[in-house]
Amino acid sequence: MDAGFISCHDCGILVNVGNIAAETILSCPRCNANLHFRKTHSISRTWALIITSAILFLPANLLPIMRVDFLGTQEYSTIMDGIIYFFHGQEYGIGLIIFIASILVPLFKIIGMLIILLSIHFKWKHWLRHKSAMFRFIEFVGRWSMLDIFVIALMSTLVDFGTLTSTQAAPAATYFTAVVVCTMFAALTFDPRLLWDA
Amino acid sequence: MEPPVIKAKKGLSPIWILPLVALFIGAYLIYKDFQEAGIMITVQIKDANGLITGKTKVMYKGLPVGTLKDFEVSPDLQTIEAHIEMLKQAKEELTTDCKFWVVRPEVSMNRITGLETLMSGSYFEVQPGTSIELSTSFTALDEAPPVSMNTPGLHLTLQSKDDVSLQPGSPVYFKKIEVGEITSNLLLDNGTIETKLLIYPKYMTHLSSDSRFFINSGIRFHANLPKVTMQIDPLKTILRGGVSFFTPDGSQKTADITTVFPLYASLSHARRVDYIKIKLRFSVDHGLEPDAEIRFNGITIGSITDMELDDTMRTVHAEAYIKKSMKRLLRKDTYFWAVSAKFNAGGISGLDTLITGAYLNIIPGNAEQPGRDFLVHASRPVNMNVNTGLNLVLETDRLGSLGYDKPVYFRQVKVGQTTGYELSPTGQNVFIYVNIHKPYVNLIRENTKFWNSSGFRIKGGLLTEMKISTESLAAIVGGGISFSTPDKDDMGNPVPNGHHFSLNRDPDDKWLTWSPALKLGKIPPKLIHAQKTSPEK
Repeated sequence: MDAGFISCHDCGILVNVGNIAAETILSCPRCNANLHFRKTHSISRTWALIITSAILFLPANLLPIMRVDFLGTQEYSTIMDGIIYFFHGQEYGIGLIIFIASILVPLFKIIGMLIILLSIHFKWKHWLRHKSAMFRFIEFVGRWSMLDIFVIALMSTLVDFGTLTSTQAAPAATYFTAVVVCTMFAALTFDPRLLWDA
Repeated sequence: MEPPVIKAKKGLSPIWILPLVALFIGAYLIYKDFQEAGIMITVQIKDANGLITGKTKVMYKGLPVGTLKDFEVSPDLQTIEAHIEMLKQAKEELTTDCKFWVVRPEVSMNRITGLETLMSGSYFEVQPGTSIELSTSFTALDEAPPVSMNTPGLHLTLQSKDDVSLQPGSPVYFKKIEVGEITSNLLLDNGTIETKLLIYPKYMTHLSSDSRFFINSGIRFHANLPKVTMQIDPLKTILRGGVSFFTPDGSQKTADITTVFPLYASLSHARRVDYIKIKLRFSVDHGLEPDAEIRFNGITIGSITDMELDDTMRTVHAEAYIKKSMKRLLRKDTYFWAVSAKFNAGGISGLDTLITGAYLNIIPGNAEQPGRDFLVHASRPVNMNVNTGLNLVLETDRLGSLGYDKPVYFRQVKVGQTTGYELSPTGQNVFIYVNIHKPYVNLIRENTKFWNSSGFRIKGGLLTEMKISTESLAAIVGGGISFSTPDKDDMGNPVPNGHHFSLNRDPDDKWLTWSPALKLGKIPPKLIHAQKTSPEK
């Protein structure tokens, strides 16, 4: 930045922009992509997405995520109900996987991103390497937290025997998807280089 | 190094809409939750079997109106306090007399209920009360409460002294169609069982104040040989008991809710209500059993119901019911006697009673006043006043093998029969009562001779001519009476009813040669008149 070079996000070309005012918008001479020193509004966007996902995380876990109709009896279950069900059934492995994928990982992502954002905001200069390592992990793990939604999507198509028994997604599924999508976007919009700018 | 292309700056990031939307959603959810926040109530229950916190619902007419939130054992460890969150809309209904009970599957010999709970788990059922005072603390009932009096339909009360195998929920049938249900069954202090029932609105018109209710016992096996009847009610009735009713024709089609109906033990009891109840008395060795029939000319007109010994242990008092249409038969002097099987040398009688059991036969009397209290005789009337033909009295010094229903022969043709016998008032003779059948009445004249034709007679000595004379084989075995009427000039006039003849032991040879020409099938008008006055007894 100080050296007046910008790396294009898309084609990776290094452009010498010299001492151009920060507000101006530049385009890559090779691929026409926008050029930024850093991702535009990275901090504010990440904040917005993380706050969104933090808010939606509550209904996603408190409201029922799945509805099972069995012989006319409707039964709603939240994510935690499912985990408890598996643990009661001695299925610790499956219970653990669902717990990690559905509760721990989204929570970890939200809290992790909050820590990173706060450290930028307050210009904390400690543990920067750990924080960037954490960010890399968050980015990597993001795609796996859709496990629950996959399960529900599969169940509602596979377990559908009319009045006998059927499975449907309940309100929390939407919020849960939103949480996952928001955290993934948050990881995407965040520019880890900002950590070091401070 | 190429110079970068310079573009105008964009506005603020719209990404902040997202958290705003999320906030809005969150706020909405919180608002909704607050809006729908239920009312916490406490219900005391006996045990918490099958109830799951957070899952067990409170149902009202099949719709969930609340959820079990928490359990707590009461401080005295006697009951369990269930904390239930009721829907906000139910607030007005949570009155002091609101009833809660737990529905669990129940399968027993006489009822199957709550089967749906096998799948869904037990649940609370609630029935709103009528009070306006609100409450948040309730005690659950042990079982479902009786159908409330508010339920549309006809609420009736039945009373019964007998034990009844009825339960709430037992069906009420009309012509084998389920038209209602028993709502409660109570034993009152005075021993009466009071059964309340509900007739569904659709069927209310079938009920009248004359309707009669009776218990469906399930299986009825009625072996009254040669007829065996077996009636099996629907399985539900066998298991749970039930009540049926019928409405006699021509009754007004109205029944009041306040009407109390008697509950009869069976259909026949219920039918009997408009029968005529009579009292009978008879000695102990009668061979009759309860349900013995009462017959008139072979047609059943009623039956005996209850029998009990009187204080002396020698007489049986019985109640009997006679069909209303047979009312005319019940005169003050109507004669009742028991018929049972008899075997003796003189004949076999009452064979049918071997199969059907002894029964009562009646001969209606002539008296004008109706009678309701009768004495049952051991045998048929001695001096049976048969209304047709000619009734005569034969006097003899000994009865011999004669008795009831012995034939009276004329030229070995049966023209009449004995109807009874008794000692003459002085004890010197036996009176044998004889009825000559209508067409043969004219054969009897003043000078007619009667003789006992029983057995056979051997006449003569061993060295002289020996003569054996017999009547028909039946007469030899069973005994009988023969008669002969002299020829034209000597026969005399026709005799009135109740005329006395003497019965000879043997016929005179001369009698057997008489051969008068007499017109049959005509009765002198004088005799018809004479029949109206009964002969002396």
